Amino acid sequence: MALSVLELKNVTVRFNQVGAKGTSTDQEILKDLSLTIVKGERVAIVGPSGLGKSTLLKTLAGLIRPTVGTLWVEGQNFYNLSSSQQQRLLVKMGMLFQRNALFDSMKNGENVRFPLKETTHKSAIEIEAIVDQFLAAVGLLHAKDLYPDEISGGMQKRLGIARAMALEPEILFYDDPTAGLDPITSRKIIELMINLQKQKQSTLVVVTNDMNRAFQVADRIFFVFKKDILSTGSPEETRKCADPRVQQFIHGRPEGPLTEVSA
Amino acid sequence: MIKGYAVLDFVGKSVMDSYQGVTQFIQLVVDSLAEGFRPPLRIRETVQQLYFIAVQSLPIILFCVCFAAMVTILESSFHMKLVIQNDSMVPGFAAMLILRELGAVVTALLVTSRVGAGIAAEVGTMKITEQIDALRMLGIRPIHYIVVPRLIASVIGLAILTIIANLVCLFVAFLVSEIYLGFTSGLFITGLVRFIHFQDLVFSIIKGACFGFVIPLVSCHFGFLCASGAEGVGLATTRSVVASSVIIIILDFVLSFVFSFFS
Repeated sequence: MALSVLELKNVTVRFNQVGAKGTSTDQEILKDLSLTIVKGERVAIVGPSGLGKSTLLKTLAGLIRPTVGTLWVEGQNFYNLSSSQQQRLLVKMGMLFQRNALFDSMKNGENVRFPLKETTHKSAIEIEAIVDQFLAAVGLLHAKDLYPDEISGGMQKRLGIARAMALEPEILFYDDPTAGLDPITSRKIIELMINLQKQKQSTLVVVTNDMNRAFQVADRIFFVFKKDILSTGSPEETRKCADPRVQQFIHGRPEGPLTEVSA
Repeated sequence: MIKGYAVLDFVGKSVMDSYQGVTQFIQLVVDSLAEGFRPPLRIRETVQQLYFIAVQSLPIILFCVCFAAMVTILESSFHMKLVIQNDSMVPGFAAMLILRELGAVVTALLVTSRVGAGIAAEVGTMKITEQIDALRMLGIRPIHYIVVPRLIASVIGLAILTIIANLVCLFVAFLVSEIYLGFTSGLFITGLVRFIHFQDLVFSIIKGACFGFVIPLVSCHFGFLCASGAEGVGLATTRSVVASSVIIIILDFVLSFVFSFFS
C-alpha cells in the first residue's frame, strides 16, 4: 500500500480578511474537505479562479492553518508538533509561489544560495556547486549575478523552481507555474518539473488553470469547486467525467453550470 | 433603531479587532524574545541594520536636536525671566530637561518616522509578495531572520544615538547660553554640575533602549498584518508610525514616573 505523505481531514478554512481601509469580513474558502496524496504522486489541482486552489495548496504546505480539521504530513498531525518538529518537516517541502516570491534584494545566485547556507551544513564550495548545478538545470547560469527584476517572467519562474529544488525537497508545491507564460515556455517548464521530479522521486502538487498542462503533469487531478473537491481521477477519467461543470471547465465553454453559479 | 445596532456592531468589531491586534503584538514580542536566544547569531544582518538605524539616522537627528536644544534654552530663559525675573538657573534647568526628556524622546520620534516607516514598508512588501511564506517554506524562521536583527540593532542603536543626541544638545545649549544669553562657560558648567547627575544620563540611555525595543516590534507587527496592494503597504506604514509615536510618548511617561523614585 502506498504511503500517504499529505492528508487533509475534514478541513474548513475561514479567513477574517482585513481590507486596505481596515474593514474586516469573514469568508469561508474551503469547507469540510478531505484528501490524501501518496508518496511519489503527481497531483494537479484545477478549478475556476478565486475559488480556493491556492488556499488549498497553502493549507497542504502548512502555511495556512485550517479553522477546522487536521493536516497530516508523513503520518504526523502537523499542528500537534512543536515548532522545531514542524520546521524539520517544512525543510522536506519546497514551493514555487504564484508570484514567485523571489527575494528581490538578493541576486539570482544568492536566491538559491541563501536557503542552502541557512539550513544545511555544507561547505561554501559544495553550496556553490549546487547553486551552479540548479541554475544550469533551469538554464539560468548566465543570469547568476543579475537581480530577479532584471530577468523575464519565465526566467523568474525557472529561478523559483531552482530555489525550490535546491534543498532537494521530498514534496514540491507549484502554484500556477505557467501563469502568464507563452505555450512553449509553459511546456518547457512543465517538462523541467517532471524531469526533476523523476530524478528525485519527489511528490508533486501543482495548481493550474491550464487543463493541457494539468493533463501533461498529473497522475491525478483534483477539481476544486464551491469550497470542496468535485472530482478526483486520472487525466483520462477527468476527461471522461460526466459532471457538466468539469466538462465546461475542460472545454472552456463560456456558457454552463459554472458560469451560472458565479453569475 | 437600525442605526443604533450599526453603531453597536461597529464598536463591537472595533473592540474585537483591537483585542486581536494587541494579542498578536504580545505574541510577536514573546516570539521575538524567544527567537533572540536561538542560534544562529545573525551578526552580519544586525550590523547592516545598525548601520541603517544608527549611522544613517545620525545626520537628521543631529540637525533636529540642535534646533530643539536652542528652543529649550531660549524658552527656559524667557519664562524664567518672566516668572522669577532671573534666568541664572537656565543652564542647569535646560541641561536637566535635555537629559531627562528631550534627547531620548526627540531621537526616538525621529527614528520612528525614518526607520520605523521603512521597516513597516519593507516587511509589508515582503508579506504581500509572499516572501515571508517563502522564508518559512525554505526552513528559515521569519521572526529570527527579519525581526531579531532589527530589534537588537534598534536597542543598541537608539541607546548610542541618545547619548550622542544628548551631548550635542548640551553643546548647542552651551553655545546659545554663551553667545546669546551672556553666560560664561564657567557659569554654564557650574549650573550643569549642580542640577544634573550621572544617573540622569543612565536613565536617558535606558529610555533610548526601551524606545529602540518598541520601534521595530511595532513596525514589524504592522508589516506582518499588511493587507494586499500599495494602499495596504501605505496604511501599514502610517499605522506603524502613529502607533510607535503614541507608545513612545506613553512609555516616556511611565519611565519618567518610575525614574522619579530613584532621583
